[in-house]
Amino acid sequence: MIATAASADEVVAVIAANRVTATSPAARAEGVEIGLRRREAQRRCPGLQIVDPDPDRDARVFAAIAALVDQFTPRVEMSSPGSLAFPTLGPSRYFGGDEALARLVAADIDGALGSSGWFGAVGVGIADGVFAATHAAELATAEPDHVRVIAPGESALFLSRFPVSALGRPELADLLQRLGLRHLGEFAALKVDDVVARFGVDGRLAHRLARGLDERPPEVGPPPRSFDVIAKLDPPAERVDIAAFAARTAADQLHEQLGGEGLACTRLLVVIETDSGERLERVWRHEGALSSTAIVDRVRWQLDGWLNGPSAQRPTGGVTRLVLVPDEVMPARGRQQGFWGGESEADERAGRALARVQGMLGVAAVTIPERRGGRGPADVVVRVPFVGVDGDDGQGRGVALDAPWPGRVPSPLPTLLPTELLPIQVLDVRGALVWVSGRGTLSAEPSMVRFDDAARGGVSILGWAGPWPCDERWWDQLTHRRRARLQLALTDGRALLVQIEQGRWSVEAIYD
Amino acid sequence: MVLPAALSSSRDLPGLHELAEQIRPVVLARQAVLPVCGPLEQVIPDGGLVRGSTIAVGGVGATSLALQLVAAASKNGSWVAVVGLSDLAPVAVLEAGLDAERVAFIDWGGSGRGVDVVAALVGAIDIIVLDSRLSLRDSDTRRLGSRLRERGSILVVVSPGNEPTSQWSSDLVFTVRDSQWEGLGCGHGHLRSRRARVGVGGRGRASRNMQHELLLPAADGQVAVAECEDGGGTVVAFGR
Repeated sequence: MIATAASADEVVAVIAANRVTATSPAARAEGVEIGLRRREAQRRCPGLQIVDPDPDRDARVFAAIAALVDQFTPRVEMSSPGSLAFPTLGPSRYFGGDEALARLVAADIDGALGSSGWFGAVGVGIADGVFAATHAAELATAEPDHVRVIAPGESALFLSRFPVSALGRPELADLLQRLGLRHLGEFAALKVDDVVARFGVDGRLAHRLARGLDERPPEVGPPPRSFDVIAKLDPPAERVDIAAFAARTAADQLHEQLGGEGLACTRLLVVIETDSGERLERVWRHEGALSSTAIVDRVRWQLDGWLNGPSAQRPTGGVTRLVLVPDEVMPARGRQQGFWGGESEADERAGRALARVQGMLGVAAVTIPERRGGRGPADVVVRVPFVGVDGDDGQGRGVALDAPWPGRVPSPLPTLLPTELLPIQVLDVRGALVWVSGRGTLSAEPSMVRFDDAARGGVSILGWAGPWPCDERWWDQLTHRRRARLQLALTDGRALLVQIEQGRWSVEAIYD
Repeated sequence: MVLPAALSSSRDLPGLHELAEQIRPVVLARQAVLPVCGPLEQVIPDGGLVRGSTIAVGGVGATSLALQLVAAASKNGSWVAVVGLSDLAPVAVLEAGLDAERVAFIDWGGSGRGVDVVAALVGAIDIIVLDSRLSLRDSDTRRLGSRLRERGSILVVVSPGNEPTSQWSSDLVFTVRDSQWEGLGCGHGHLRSRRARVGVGGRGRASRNMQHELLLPAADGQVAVAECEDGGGTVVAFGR
């Protein structure tokens, strides 16, 4: 789902960790598919508008949609912003069958989206299990009435034509493909015992999915006793981050309680109450087990959607009470504390401290590096906001992007990137300004750099290399940059990477 | 029980000694150090970054040296938070060898909450790299200093291009001087390596004020140590 104020015919894609994660239909028509690398997507569609992923923004927009579906059934389960599920047994009898219900829901959401100014591709799918229904819904976005209903008992048949990558387990899919199993049908045809012997517990779960069964393993059930955690906020919290901070303590407490009994939560009911008596309940579900950071994220999404959502639904008072009710639990397994590698207690502690700093300074103040690839030192690695989403989904951060970038600045790369433009003058022996011709040659040998603050005067150049012309994104008027770089070593021991763009020299980076 | 012949003598197994060293349960104060890369072990009197200590790094080249100081610890599983230094290039951080999974940049944006930010990180984050431009009152630095010693985090205060800060009572002070870049001709080549003179001072064992010649970074990415011409110091090369 794309949560940006774009019209249907704009070409937009959300790109996370260098891969396309969502596209608008116009972009899809241009050939931009989910899973493409950024460069490939830009190659297929030069005018592509790129949006950074932002789960909070998605949650805010999606909250309105969840509220709509609430009118059909009280048993709405959210898995992440962008998708929700509900059992159809009751409501479809009331609304006259699965197909009619799906049409009503799709039309309602479509109408609401149209009037809200946000754009999203709507798809409603009905099938035996959540997994099959999700894939049916994805296909349904292309259908004229946004509905795809799989008849009872035919989910396995429907799924059998999907590639194994649809399981959402890249490593398993890769292995299966190398074993010659390309479609879910072939994987589903294996015997359960063999699958367990070869692929373990997770393999069995995937096998259940492929056979069109509910992904819920049989051991999932209601908790043996009440584990409800209640957080009272006094004074009432008006802002999301304050309430989310209280949620953190509650989530830790819940996690500890469950962990003490060897349980992990797969479905969680989050109840938020305000001092004027309003109340918002929402059920969140997770394929694996919800970690404490994942619980906090769910609460924050829910709060954000409510407090910053459409004014008609916004509460009038501050949040006074947060209740976390584990709805479904399963025996905790596998999520062990890291011994060598993996998530350890230190990682959790560090994550908590960083979240606290985010609470003080704002979410954007804490960033982590993400490899993107590019020619200039500022493009190779960028800072992205630190979001503790699930903590364990390893979004490919830090994975080396092996694609070559011809014309990139050679290693070692500079250590400082001035945050504001530092204009300079590069002068030749006679004191005239050096410039770079259209063919990429220097007008004269540079011999001195004069910094803009005239008090410091000029510094002589010991050595230089370049010019390295760089003509990037010439296919796009807005982001097109044409410049030439020079490496300079100065007599005072400093080394600079300077650039000339539109006849003006500036310091791009400093080798400190 | 019969041991295989190969296991009968532990002298043949240097790896076993190493393992025994690592799993020894008693940790003395001097041993509560985070590792640094090989060449720097010789430069730092304690052979590593002592938990709870404050380290000041200054001069032209301070950023590179600070990143090299913390790189080995980061690779070993320690968290690093960079507070301030908004112009620090994230690519240089990864190129120095820090683990991308355990680095965070904090932009305090000039808000007056620098003290609170550092205080929140102490104890949870192993190494805090701090911008020396963050102005703190003397009482704050004293309070944070004792908190550091108590909780075992390490503070690295960086002043790129300036003298190392004297605001903190630092246990170790690095001053990078006489930076000389190599590999750049007049119109050809590119920057490959830098030779710099690094003064190491501080308190305790570090108070002897040693001078070392360092390659920061070295051209071939190899680590090398050589005797320095003018007595005492060493030439140390860093890999990239």
